[in-house]
Order: sequence, then structure tokens, then C-alpha cells
Amino acid sequence: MGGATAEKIAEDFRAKLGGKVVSCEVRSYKRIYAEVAPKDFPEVALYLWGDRKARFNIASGAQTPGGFEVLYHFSLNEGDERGVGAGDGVVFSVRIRTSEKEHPVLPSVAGKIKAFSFIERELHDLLGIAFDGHPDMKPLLRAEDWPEGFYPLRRTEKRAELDVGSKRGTGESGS
Amino acid sequence: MKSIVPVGPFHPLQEEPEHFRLHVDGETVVGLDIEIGYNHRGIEKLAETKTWEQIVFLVERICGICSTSHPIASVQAMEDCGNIEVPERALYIRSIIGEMERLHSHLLWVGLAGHFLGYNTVFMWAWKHREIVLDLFEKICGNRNHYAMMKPGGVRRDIPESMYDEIVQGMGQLAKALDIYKGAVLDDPVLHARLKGVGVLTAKDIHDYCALGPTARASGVAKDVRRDHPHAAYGLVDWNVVTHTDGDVFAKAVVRVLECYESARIVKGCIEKMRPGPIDSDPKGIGPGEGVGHYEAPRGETFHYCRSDGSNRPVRYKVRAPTFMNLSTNYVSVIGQSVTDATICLAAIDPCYCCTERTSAVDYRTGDQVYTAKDLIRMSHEKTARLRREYGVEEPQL
Repeated sequence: MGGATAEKIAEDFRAKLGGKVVSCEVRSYKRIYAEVAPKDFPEVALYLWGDRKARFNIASGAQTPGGFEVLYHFSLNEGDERGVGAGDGVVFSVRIRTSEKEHPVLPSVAGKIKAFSFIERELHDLLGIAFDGHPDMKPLLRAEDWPEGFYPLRRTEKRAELDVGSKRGTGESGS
Repeated sequence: MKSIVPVGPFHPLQEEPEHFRLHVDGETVVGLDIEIGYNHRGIEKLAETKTWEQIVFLVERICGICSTSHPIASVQAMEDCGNIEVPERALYIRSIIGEMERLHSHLLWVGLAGHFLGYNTVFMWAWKHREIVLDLFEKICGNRNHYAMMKPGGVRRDIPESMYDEIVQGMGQLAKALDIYKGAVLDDPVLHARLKGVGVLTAKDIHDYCALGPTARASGVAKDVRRDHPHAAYGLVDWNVVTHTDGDVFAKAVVRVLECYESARIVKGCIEKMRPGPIDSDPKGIGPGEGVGHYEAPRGETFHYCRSDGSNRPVRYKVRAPTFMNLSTNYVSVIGQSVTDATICLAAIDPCYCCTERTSAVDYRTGDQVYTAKDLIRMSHEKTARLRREYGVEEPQL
């Protein structure tokens, strides 16, 4: 039963998005992995979240040898009209990549789907990925005196470069 | 008159640092700013330096309350990545530990919610009855919290048959205690007046913010990872997903109290059904690939993602706690409320900031480290030695 569900979801996805799908693979009865071009991702997100009523779980960004990639995870439960699932939930992960190694920019979805706002801010804080069109791209987790341009989840960053102490304080000594 | 009421980051309301700025017009909240990040510990970065088995212990320390939800999600992500089978008995044990944790976590929220409303009797009761679960945990794994039960491929400790009766009795005792809450909390006219129609979230709000757990279920959105994406033993025993339609703080309280009954039922069902057998498939490493693991923590879905290159460490590890998604529903729920009700609205999602942000102590004025990890370990050893002397316990011979 579950296998048919995942295959059906993938089939619908390919039919709906046609040539925009770079790849779409059903890895198991509960996992689908797809890849699209960054510019097409907002449309994909709106299809999964809007048309398919998927729940956006989270996005996981990573620095790769070729640049950066972000994997957006959605949960789909094909249930009845009340959304009551039958235990055949599928996690649908959509990957987008960029070959830009220093200043990656990806399209923001936060303006259309509110649930994307926090994670896009987090990805900017930790990996330095800018999201074009985010309505309020201020730091989420970073301290206000965090050095500009230092992104802790990048592999190229060296811990020694982070000299937080010298950036802090105005000479006023603590008690 | 318009003004701003700051809540936090240091305040006696909750135990964790977060900062809300309530923009108020007279007594009515008209805007909200949320600031988090006070408790960011860099756990994802740290995970890249740990072996797979060490990561389970690391993520267990993300949170002190849902300390087994992160490990369950974590080992499931690793098992998904490496195609690892788990013996059936281990699945039952995972569900038992997970549900006992839900029981004490929900009771903690009920107690705190009572405390926030000035109903401290409920606070005292809830914390008293939590002890039943915490004592059982101590007997099962030696700790009241941080159970260290999970590992990729199974669980680290068995639950001996001699404990079955005690666990079932404990669940019976709790069910009796829950009857008191049902009567005293859910039928209390004062609580109805304080909580009904307050901080309402509609099913559309839940979908917009992709909110989870009891926060979603109280708005009629019947999402529960335990049922929708079956794992552990949740597909093997009978239980129900609890929902409510009103979406207010009262509905969230009802969902949490009624879910406790279901948790006790799952624990009993697992004890009845589980048979002797292996508890660990003892996998040798995690093969290359990527995996996703999620678990319905007391506050909603905890989501872990890992990527392996086949070595003994991940190349990327991502953690998403439920509060990360639920927190932004506050943008909706507190608007239009009075300042007095804003506190219980903000607390209604059962926020957990240490989870959301995933330390050494630093004096922010000077940038100096106050305590390093070494200092903390030394202080811990010194305290243990002092307690040993005071209680006349002998030093262990190593």
C-alpha cells in the first residue's frame, strides 16, 4: 500500500512539473528525493505545500565540494479530507544546488509561505546563503556582535579566525 | 497609548532565555517581535566531529525534558541512511521509553501552565505525579532523565520481565492522578474563563506556519508522526490521536491531558505484547548515503537529517526541534490579546528553547570565558568528592 503511495506522489510530481524536474527518485516506500533548479523551487514548494497540502518539515543546507546545496523536506500524508492519515506518510525531499562558492544566493519562499522564514534566516546565519526576496532577513541565532561574514557551518572557516573576545566590550570591566 | 513591553531574555516566567517584545496599545497586544539565539550551542557543527554512536549521546543533551525524542529521531535517521533493521523487542522498548517521557513532559507543562496562571496547586500536583514516571525511569536505566537507551540498530538496555508489573501499576496510578486533572483543571470555571477563546490558532494558521504536535492537534489538524509515519511500536498497539477543534489555550491543555491517557495505554500495550528476543542488531557502521528520522516528541515532530560518506562520522547533521516551527505561531496567537493573557499564549506551545537553538559561559562585557569545559568538569569532580566525604561513601577502587 505504502509503496504505491510513494510511486503515485512521484508520478504526479513529474506530471505536474514536467521538464523542471532534474531528477525524482523513490528510494523507499516512505522516502522520495527530487532535484530541481533553484529558480523553479518556489513553484515546487507552492505545489507541495499548497496543492498537495504537504507539511514543510525543515530545510538542511550543506556546503559541498561543488558549492552549496539546500535540501527541503516535506511530509505528505495522503489521508481523507480531514487530513487523517492511514500510516502511509512519505517524506519528500527536494534538493537545489548552486555552484557559487563565496556568495550563494537562492530564491526565498518566506514571502509566500510563512513557515520558511525562520529556516532561511538560520541558513543565512550559519552557512551564509542569501535568500533573494526574504521579507525580513535579520539574524536569527547569531549574537549581535558576531563577526560579519563568518559562517560557522562552512567547511572553509577556521575556528582560530573567530576572535570574539577582541570584538567585545568597551573596556568597562565586569564585576 | 502605545508602548513596548519586553518579556525576557532574563525573567522568572520560564526557565529559558528568549526575548519577546510585545507592542501594546493600551492593554492590547498589537505587534510582536521574537528574538532567540541566546542558547545556541553549535550542536550540528559539533556532531560533525563525533562518531555515530557518540552523536546519540550528544543529541540526548540538546534538551533535558524531551531527552529521548532527539535520540530516537537520530537513530532512525542513521538507520534510514544505512538500511539497518531493528529487532522487534527494541521497537517496543523505544515506544515505552518515548511514551513515559511524553507523560512526564506533558505533566510538566500542565504544572507550569497552572503556575503561569497563578494556580499553584496544579503546579504542585503535577510535579508530584511526575515522580511516578521519573522513579520508573531511574529503575529502568539508572537516571531520572537522559536515559541513554537508544543506539543505532536497537536499544542499549533491556527492560527485565520482573519490572513489567511495576510499570503497569505505575501507569494505573498515573491514570488515577490524571482523573484529578480532568476534574480539577478541565472542569474548573475559572480556568475556562482564563483559557477559552484565548490565543486561538485556526487550522489555516497551523498549515501556514507548518506547526506541529499538540499545538496543531488542538486546532483540529490531526497530524501525528507516530501514526502518519509509523515507527517504533506505534503501528503494533492500539491508541488514538487526540484532537480538539477550538484552537485556543484551553484546547491545547485538553489535548495534552488526554494524550497522557493514550501514552499510558501505549506503555501498557507494549508491555503486554512484547516477547523476549534480541534488542540490538549490532550494525557495523553507517553506510554512505543520507537519511531522515523523525519522532513525535511531546511538543511535536523532532526531525533529524544525516549524511554519511561511509566513514564513522557524518559529513552533515541537521536537527530541527518542534519549537522551531511552533514558535512563529505566536505572531498570530498573541495579537489582539490583553497583556495578561499574552504570557499563557506564549507558553501554550510548550516552548523549548534549548531544543530550538541547539556552552561555555562567557562574560559578554569583557569577552572572557568565565568557566571553560575543564573548569566545569573539575567543579563536578570536587562536588562529588565533597558529597562522598559528607555521606561517608568510600572512593571507588578503579
